Amino acid sequence: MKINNQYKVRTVAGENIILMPGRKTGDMTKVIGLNDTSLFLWNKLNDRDFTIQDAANALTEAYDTDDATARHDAEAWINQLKDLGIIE
Amino acid sequence: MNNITYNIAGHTWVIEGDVEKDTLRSLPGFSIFETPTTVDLHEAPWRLSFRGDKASHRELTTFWNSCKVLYTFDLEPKTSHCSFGRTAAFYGFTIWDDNPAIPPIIMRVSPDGMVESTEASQPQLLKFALWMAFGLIGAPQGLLPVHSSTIIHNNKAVLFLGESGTGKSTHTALWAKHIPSSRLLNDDSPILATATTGKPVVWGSPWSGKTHCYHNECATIAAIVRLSQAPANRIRRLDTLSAFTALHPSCPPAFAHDSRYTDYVVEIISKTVDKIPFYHLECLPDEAAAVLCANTIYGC
Repeated sequence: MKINNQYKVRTVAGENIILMPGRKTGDMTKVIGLNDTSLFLWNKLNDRDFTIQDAANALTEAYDTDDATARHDAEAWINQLKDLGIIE
Repeated sequence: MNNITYNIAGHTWVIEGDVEKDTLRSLPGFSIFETPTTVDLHEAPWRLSFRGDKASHRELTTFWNSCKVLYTFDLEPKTSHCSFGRTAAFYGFTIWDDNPAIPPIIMRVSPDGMVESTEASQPQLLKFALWMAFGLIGAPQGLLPVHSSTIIHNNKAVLFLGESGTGKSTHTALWAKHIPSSRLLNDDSPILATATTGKPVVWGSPWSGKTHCYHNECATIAAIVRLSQAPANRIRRLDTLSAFTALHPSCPPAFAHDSRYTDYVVEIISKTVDKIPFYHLECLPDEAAAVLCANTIYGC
């Protein structure tokens, strides 16, 4: 899977966000806030194809966490972004 | 000479065009922003040239046809429409009306502030075209039209945000009536200005919707308030993310569909959110709402 490269992270007064404009008139822009871990995974993975395990490994390398938790958190991050259409 | 020079949000803008000069002078509000022409047309940092000749019309039509269209929307009234797009080097837009007797306007905007346009004689379309053009040349300079009704109280401004029909104008009218030393700066599209240093300011503009409220002046901003209708008056402070989502929809909608202009908008909002308190006011259309809001912001 990959992060769709039309989306980028922008910083607003210290907060990291992704903007998803609506497709047509009347559709609202979605604003997605990224916490530190989310941003970390984004920066690690956003220019390549990756698997759930790649994301989990990135977490265990950087954070003091066990494999099961890392896998669970990686899946949650991926699913949220897949639901939004940001990861495909 | 067929130029008019305007000073809008502290920036000089020279507009060149025989027909358009007369039409602009017929629009209430623009005259307040007119300034004597002291700068040579070809040295003006911002210049908009209307061209009535066939060759220019062909050139601009070809340009528009080569644009990638990013966003199309209706104006008010919905019989007029605008399409916004870009090529590698330029941004452009076209405005047209369902009435075929009104010729469409095509504008080509270059990043350095130069705009070229086909003829624009219909006053309302001309006014909107200038608004779009101003937004496109202003955003890279930290200027942004914001859909809001804005009052000045004791020399500091409050911008009220909310979708059309929410009650922004009703609320600011209550300020003007009940809060001493309050007056309206603009009722629809003031210009937010985030200079490189210092606090953001807001300027009056020639675009004020249906209310003829035109003031060529600026004020520092005390607060920005998102309004919504509610059965009781309540105000609360917004955090950074909520402040962003309050202000972003009030910025020119077309910009959200272009990455570079989104960058400009985000930078402007970022500087604003960083330095100015944002609130959400749920309210009735009554004096108590204005008093609650004024007390919260100004601590009086």
